[in-house]
Amino acid sequence: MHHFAEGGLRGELADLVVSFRERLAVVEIDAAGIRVFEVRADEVGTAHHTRRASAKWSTLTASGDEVFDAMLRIARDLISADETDPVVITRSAGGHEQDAAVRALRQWRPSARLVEVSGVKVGELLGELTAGAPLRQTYDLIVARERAEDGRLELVGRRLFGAGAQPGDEAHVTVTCTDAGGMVLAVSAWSGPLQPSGLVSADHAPLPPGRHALRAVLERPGLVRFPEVPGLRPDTRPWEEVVATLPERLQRASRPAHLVCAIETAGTREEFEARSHWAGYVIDLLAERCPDLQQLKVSVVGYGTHVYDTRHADRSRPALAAWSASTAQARAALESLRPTTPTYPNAAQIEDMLAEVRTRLLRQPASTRTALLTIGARPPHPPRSGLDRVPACPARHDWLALLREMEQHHGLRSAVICDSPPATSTSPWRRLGSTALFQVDAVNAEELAVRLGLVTEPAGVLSLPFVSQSEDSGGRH
Amino acid sequence: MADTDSAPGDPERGREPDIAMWGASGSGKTAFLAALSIALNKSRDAGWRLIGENAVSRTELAKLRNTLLQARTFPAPTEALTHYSWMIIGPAETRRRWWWPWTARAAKAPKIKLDFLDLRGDLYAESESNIDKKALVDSLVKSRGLIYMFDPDREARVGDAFKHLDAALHEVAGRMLVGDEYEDGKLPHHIAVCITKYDDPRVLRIAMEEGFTERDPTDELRIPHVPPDRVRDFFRLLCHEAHDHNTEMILDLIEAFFHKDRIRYFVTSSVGLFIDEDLGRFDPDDYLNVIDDAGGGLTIRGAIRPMNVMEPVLWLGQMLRPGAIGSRRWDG
Repeated sequence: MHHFAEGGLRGELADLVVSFRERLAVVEIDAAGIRVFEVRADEVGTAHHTRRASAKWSTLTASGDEVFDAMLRIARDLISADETDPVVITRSAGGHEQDAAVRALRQWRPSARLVEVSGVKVGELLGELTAGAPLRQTYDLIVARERAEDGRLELVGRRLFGAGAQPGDEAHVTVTCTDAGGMVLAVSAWSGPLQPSGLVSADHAPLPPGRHALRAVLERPGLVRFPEVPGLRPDTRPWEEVVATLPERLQRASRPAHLVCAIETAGTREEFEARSHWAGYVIDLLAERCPDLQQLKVSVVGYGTHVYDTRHADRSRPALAAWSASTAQARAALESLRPTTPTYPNAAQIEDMLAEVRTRLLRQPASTRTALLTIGARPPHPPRSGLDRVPACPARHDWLALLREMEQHHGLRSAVICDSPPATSTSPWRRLGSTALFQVDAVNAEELAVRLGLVTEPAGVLSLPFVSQSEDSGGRH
Repeated sequence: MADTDSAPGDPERGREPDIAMWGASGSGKTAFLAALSIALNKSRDAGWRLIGENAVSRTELAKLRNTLLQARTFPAPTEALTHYSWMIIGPAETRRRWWWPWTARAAKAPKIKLDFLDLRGDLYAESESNIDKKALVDSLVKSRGLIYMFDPDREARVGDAFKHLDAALHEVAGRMLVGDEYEDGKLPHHIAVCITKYDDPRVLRIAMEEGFTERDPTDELRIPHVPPDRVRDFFRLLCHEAHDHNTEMILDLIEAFFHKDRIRYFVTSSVGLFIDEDLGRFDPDDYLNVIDDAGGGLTIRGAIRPMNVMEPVLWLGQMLRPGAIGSRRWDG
């Protein structure tokens, strides 16, 4: 038996409120009767206490039962038999009924802890302890971001509070509101790394479009406040309804765009003209769809094949027909390209083209949407010779490193139109065509332009916070 | 020697071949021959030359050299039995008589006679008898030195070397060992086992990754080579990597039929490794000297630097004509 002042009981119960797994039972025994409380965690890990039973001694014995029998029946009905579920008995008065009740509880759960207290209201104490408990699960803000491979929106979590966070803790997160009607700040809980366990809260924030640095405060488990957001009110729609209204892709505000068309010139006239046709088609499509042509720039680069039978290494560079030009200038530049005779059959100067483009992109403003469309037959040369017998690029350019660098620094989207399907699943064409990969005889130019992020489909309103790929430091699906 | 314009394959030439050559189809025999004269020209020990003994052989030699050096590609595979009557002639050497030192003996150039039979590689394995096959087996029986070409690239893909070698050796053994002439039960030939296409990335990569290569400190080009005392082990490893399980038995087969002290292993390449002239040394990232060309064939990319092409021939010459070049330095 333990004798505790309220402070000791508080500490004992506070530990149990944090550590219990399924449920915690607390039986309060005083001069008037008994009350049975139960603490459980809901699906998002928030602990709640409920009073499961309350009876005066006279009520317990009204049907002729002894206190012992009545208490045992209540215990069987309301208190778990599982030894991993803790049971605490508080007793603030002594007497026959109280002793009989304790005996009955001890018979049902021999491990139940008996605590002698005075002046403690258990219900109120449990309310305080559950409100002040640290988080049992992590809390994330649900945001939308664009998938790198195709620009489609996906929902991910941005961490607000980790498991163990205390009420009063703060978190900061920067998101973009894309709709004039504001956005929904939805907080989800995660019990593990793979699946969210449930929605903690969803509130409508009437914020204007633009970037917002939000301060989140953990009021208590199950309640996150955003103090700086005025007019926050609960969004009572079912979550499925919120998700159903999300657009497939983001309707972008107009910002500068730059398409680099890289065309392999090596091949027959027919092969070259088929490639040039699609470059011209895509440029025309963009010119037609772009609401502000001043915002659209197009570059045209022609590249051929390396020459390997010369005494000194071939250091020739791709032909830059136009750089960051208007669509009309790019069209004219495209016409200036001519087919060339292949000097090597199995690879072309794509890596040199990428090096040239990378160097020139360094001077481009960071906010520009940048897309690369490579149209050709031959994959790039590797930086070093391999078993496939393709000789290394004379300048040792590493096409994959260059592509990754541009994707990272410029958010580059890379698509390809190949003369024929890639020979293997590991073909460089598949990586170069990570945004879109078409064959020259089956191109969906509309879809290509959309995937490259250069034109947008009519889209719905994004009612959730948005984070761009560059802002995103990782998230959970 | 008289300049006889006998046709290739003429069985009435009346001479027995000194050295015969065989290997599977596509194992690099013709390229080896084409590279031989280039290798001799490039030898630091200048003065060795390969000449044709008759007009046909001279014409063929010129064609082979031209294919490699001018067209920068490889000779077409042999379609028919072809005899080449060639001779390697070394630099003339003037010797003084020790007992009459102020007068010199007339200069004399060492000569090694090479009667090469270049033949379709798979002919040995044909079951039905025909004239070409008989001529081939005759040449192997009559020759005293053999060059056996083993193509690791082909073995990794096709794996038919054992079948060819086994068939040929049993034909020759059946002719030579049934009598009492060779009581030790071994064929009397000296044999140079040549691992071809060292420049192939599959072959060179295995050599480098398995630790068989060394760098010659005197070689400014820093080309990795397999030292002579490790070539036999390298050969065994390549046989182990082959497509056909039977290939693993090739080394044992050779050593069962020939005297061990008459076998020597060489790692060869007809064209050598590519060296970027701007870099001036071997680059492990860029050594391909044979690449696909736009016409669907192969092309030689850089300078032709035959590796261990003349060495097997000169070694056999030394073994067969010890007096002729015995005092000559031929391996440097």
